[in-house]
Amino acid sequence: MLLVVDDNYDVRMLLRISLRSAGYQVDEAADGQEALRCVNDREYDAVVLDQKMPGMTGLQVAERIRTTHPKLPVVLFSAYLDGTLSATAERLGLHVVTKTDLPGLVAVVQAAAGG
Amino acid sequence: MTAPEDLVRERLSQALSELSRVQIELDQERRRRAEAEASFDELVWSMSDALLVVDQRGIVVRVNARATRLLGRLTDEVLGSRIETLLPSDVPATPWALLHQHPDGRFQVETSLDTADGTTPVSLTGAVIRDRAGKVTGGVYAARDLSETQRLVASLAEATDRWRLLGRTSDLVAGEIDPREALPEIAAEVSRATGATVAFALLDGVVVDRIVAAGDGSTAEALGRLRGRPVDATTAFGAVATGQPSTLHVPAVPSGYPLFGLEVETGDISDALLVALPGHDDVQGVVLLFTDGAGAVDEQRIELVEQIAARTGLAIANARLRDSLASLVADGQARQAREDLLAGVSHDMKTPLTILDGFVDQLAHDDGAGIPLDVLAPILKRQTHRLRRLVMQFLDYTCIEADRALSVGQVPVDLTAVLTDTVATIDDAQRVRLDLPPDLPLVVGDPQRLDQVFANLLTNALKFSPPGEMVTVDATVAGRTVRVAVTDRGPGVDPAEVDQMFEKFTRGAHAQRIEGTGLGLYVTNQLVRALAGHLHVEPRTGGGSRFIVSLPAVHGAAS
Repeated sequence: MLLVVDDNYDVRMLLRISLRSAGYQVDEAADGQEALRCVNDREYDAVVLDQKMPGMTGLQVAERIRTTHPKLPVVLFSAYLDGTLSATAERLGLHVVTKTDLPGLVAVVQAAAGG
Repeated sequence: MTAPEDLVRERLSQALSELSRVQIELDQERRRRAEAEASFDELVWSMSDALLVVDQRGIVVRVNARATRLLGRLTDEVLGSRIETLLPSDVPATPWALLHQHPDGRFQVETSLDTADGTTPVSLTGAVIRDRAGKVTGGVYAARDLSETQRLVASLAEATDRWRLLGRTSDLVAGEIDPREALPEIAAEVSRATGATVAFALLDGVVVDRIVAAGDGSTAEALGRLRGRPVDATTAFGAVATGQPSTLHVPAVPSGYPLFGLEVETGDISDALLVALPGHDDVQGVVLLFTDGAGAVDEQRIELVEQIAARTGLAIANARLRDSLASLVADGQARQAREDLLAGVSHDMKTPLTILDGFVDQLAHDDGAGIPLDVLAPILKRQTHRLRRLVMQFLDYTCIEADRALSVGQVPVDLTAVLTDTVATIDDAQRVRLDLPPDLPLVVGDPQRLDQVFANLLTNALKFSPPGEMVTVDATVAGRTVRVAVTDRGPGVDPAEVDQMFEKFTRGAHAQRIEGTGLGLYVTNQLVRALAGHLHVEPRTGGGSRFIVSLPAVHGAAS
């Protein structure tokens, strides 16, 4: 079971369809708050997080997840990959993918979640 | 009883004592007179005026050094001559004549004397001399050299001009005004102060970029023709313009002299001066001075021109530096803005392209199985709309940059249909509430352009609103105008920023954390204008902003 977090419905839809055809069941959250509720309620194999969201950013959500679920694989996708973002992501042990690389995203999720 | 001899003896004694008293008085009188004469002579000699003392016949009996110097003669030549041979003929030549013409015994006249230097303007005063009894015994003539006074007055005026000019040029260095704008005034002042034709020639490299001349018409006109011409490095002009020496003075210009390589008619020019306008480490141009009177360019004037040149050159160098700095900054800003725009637009295009790409891939691989059409169709429509809007915004921007008018249609438009479609095709549509009256009149416009306008305003409103806050769209009709308001609960608009909100690349203080090109509102405003409408923003009570688009209703459609 995967959790996809993105404020854009169309992106969530695309990820749901792509990941489902790769064999995963997918839950969705539209923002950071909703994502944290889901993570506390259910056991996920991995969380796929958009970096740029209104309210909490993907990194902020990942940081909160790390305090409660240190072993849960988190895949962060972002339009920009700058040094600061990569460094923070590395410190938190996140997998980072650019937003335009959908096949890459599916491959990274498969490696992270197993399966 | 007194003997007669005693009486005689007494009388004699009285007479002797009287005589000795008189002798003492006489001695004292003589001494006083000698002292008086001595002090008179002293006075005559020390007077700064030229003094001539004559006797009753008008023959010079005393003269001072000033007078002999002024007249250019020896004392012996002057003493014993008749005064009329020394003074102009209209001056009374004897004390009697003086008294006859001027009953009060004195006169004062401005005239000129034949002197060693030719003719000298003088102020001449004459008076008769009387003894204690009032008898006329002679006359005195005092001449004051007015050329000295005239020189003093002239040099005083020049000094005043000088200080004013130097003060003025110092103001230029202070940078209060553009020195290039002040050059005509300075040229005119220098010309007035020196009586010369004056030109400031500014150089751009070796080309005369600008020339400002004042003074003699034909010379100034000839100087004016130098504009745009390169200076010849082999001429004096070029020598100064390229460094050394910084001042060239050509006194007594020979006929046909190539005046610093200028095609200036040298016939009337007697003196030429060229002084460099020094910049910080270069030459900004030259000051040229041409006179038509011998010796008019003296040391003092060269110094004055050099001082003015130093200040003006520095001021011009500073002004040019400020200019190039400003244009560098402006160039940099424009380049940065274009780069940001390109980066922004290409970034904004990535998301719809990725989504479309992803779905196309899914459809290709899975034969579309599992993706219901009613899910797929709105997504594809939304993302293609988004791409189209981005492309249009970019094209509109290039249009505006090139000063071309934005192309808009002028047809009756059903705003309700446009707004419903716009809301359905933007991301986050579920956070938008449409609140339109049922009888909204048609407006004159262009459906695609209006979609662009409202999509921009809605995207902005959503971007700046906290998660969970709704953005509302409502419309009102006032006369022949339909007003559509997009209202958000964002941070609101700073009243100080309202005026520049619709400018290019302006982003409010609150927008710094939020992605965007800073072009949306600018293009939106230009579009609304092209649609004969009006866009303005007002704060929303309780926080947030209302962006209001006023559009003309179709004629006769307004209720």
